[in-house]
Amino acid sequence: MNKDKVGKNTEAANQKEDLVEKFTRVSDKFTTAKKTYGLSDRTFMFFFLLPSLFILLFLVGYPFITLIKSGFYNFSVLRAATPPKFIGVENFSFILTDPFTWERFIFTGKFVILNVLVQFLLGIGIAYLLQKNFRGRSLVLTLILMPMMLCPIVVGLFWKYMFNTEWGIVNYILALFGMGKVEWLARENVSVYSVIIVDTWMWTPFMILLALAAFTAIPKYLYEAAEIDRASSWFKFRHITLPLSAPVLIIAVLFRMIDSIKAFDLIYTLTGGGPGSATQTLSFDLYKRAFQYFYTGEASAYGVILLLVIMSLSLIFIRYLNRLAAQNMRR
Amino acid sequence: MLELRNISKVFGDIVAVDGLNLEVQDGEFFVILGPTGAGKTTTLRIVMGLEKPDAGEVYYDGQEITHVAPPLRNFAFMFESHNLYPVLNVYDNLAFPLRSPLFRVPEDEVRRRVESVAKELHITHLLKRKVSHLSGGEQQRVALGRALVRKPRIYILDEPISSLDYKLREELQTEFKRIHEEYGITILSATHDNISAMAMASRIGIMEHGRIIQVGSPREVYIDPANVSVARIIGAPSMNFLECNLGDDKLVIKDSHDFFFRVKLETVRLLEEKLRGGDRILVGIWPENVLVSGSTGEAWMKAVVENVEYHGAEKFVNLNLGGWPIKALLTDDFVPKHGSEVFVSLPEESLYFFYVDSGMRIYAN
Repeated sequence: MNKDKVGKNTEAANQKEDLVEKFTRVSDKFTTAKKTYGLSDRTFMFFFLLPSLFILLFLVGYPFITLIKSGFYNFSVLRAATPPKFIGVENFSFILTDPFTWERFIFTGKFVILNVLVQFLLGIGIAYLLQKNFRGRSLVLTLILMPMMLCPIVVGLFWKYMFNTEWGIVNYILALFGMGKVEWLARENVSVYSVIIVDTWMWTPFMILLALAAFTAIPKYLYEAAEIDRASSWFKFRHITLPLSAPVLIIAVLFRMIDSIKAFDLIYTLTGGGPGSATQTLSFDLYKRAFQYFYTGEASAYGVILLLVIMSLSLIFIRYLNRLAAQNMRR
Repeated sequence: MLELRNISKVFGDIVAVDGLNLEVQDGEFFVILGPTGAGKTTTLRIVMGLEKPDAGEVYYDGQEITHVAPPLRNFAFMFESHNLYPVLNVYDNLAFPLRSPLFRVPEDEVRRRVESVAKELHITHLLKRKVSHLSGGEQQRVALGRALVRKPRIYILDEPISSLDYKLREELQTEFKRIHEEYGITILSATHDNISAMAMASRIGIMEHGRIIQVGSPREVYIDPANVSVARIIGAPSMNFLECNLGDDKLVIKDSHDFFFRVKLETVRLLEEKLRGGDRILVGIWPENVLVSGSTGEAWMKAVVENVEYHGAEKFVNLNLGGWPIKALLTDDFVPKHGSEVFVSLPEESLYFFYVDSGMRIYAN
């Protein structure tokens, strides 16, 4: 720019133009930076995801599609020579009209609800007591968490012996108190509760662990405020502890629920699904159809149904969880 | 009357409260003023019973309550962080203290009291609102309301308004004062905000390093600060300090190429006697007492203008006086230019003399 030739006004105007131009150039640089320099965040993210995507694709995706496909065929892996025969939804309609399946559904529902309810109540109750600091708290906590770390098969076997009607320790102790022998595993209406007792023994620690974590995360000052406001312990629990730990508790319940629906290993060793079929959960039934009778097509259809049930239940929980999360975000 | 005797509290190797003594009279608005970390919150929590002191006792009306549980003390506490119950709405938050199983109030009485307090604090339109949907100022009002619905023996407020913006702060400041006067209640409050403390308190306790270093009405501590710390804490802006050496009939500002100002002979004598051989003095003067002029007179010193600050109606000038920073209130329309030279006088009757080492006042004028 030649300062001598242009007037002051034009000079100022030119400077302004210069600035505008500079500014636009700079802002252009900012907006294009993402594309021109190195990897964008998105691509970067994708690279990180790639390994897990592959694993998912081959270990989950492929078997899953095969499962759905074989649900529509009459097929058994034992008769590999006979080609699978397409039969439409016959497998599904057979399972859903079979009264035996519905018995399993009802039993599983009863088992899941009772099981999770007992574990939930015990879990938060014990976690509530463990919140306070006392001597030997960490030792107690470690001991309480032990059952969860054991192998379910072993737990099932141990309890099977403990529940033995003639020489099991449970009946022995009952006898000490003058009570009669209970056929823990041999009676239809008792064996359900035996299974629940063992599952509760094993998995309540999980509930305790999560509840304890949730309780500890609640800010202490809220309790102090309640203390000054002279609130009762129940009030504090009901209006501070419970609502603020709800998101974690819901996840814990969801986990326990899905696990209970899938319950198999423990029942397998403890009762073998018996007496009769009294303690056969849906998964147990599925196992029998798939690996005892080798009705591969039918079992596949069964698997799909079970998956849908679990997914829809989870969905309800996750919906609720999201709503809670949204509420907490606003806090 | 609330009384704290020799209270001490240590957290790890931090001494939060160190042998603190305090008396709060009935009907008083007592404010503990001190910098962050002085131990104010810990003191209030000890009064409330949320913290047990390592040593010392708390008395209320002559009765020892050091180990009485918080719910039984019947004190109301307003936390600095408000601590509203996130799952309850505003109405239920306010009603919470009245629904205590220990001191249950019938539900229609609860409604009456909550509504009257809500009206008082202008939050009636918020009653149905969720606490999480409130602004900071609204939350503060609700927190205050939660303390007010009860008729406790003392209201204890921790930093009741310092987290708010200026306008709200002023509004609530006035509200606090009005509520205090109308209800005739006893309030013990703590803050680091000297302006609001001076404005609200009937008595102030200046706190530093876990101790109360001076107690008095806002006017008293302002006129007669016991030491340098008090003078630093209470002023807004705070006091000017100049280290000086004692001359025959004057005080010579240290490291200033012989800037000096004259004082009466008897003052020099008195200082000489108190200093016992030493001759270093910390001279303090409030900015509003420094005289600034564009033209020289007798006993005026030359100073360079650094900048001018406008505080609404008041304007202050920052000066360089022989290497020492001095702030002065400009009283007339005279506004010196940046970098220009002005003349400064320090009238003897407004000077405060402190020991350099201990920071204590040498004598009260």
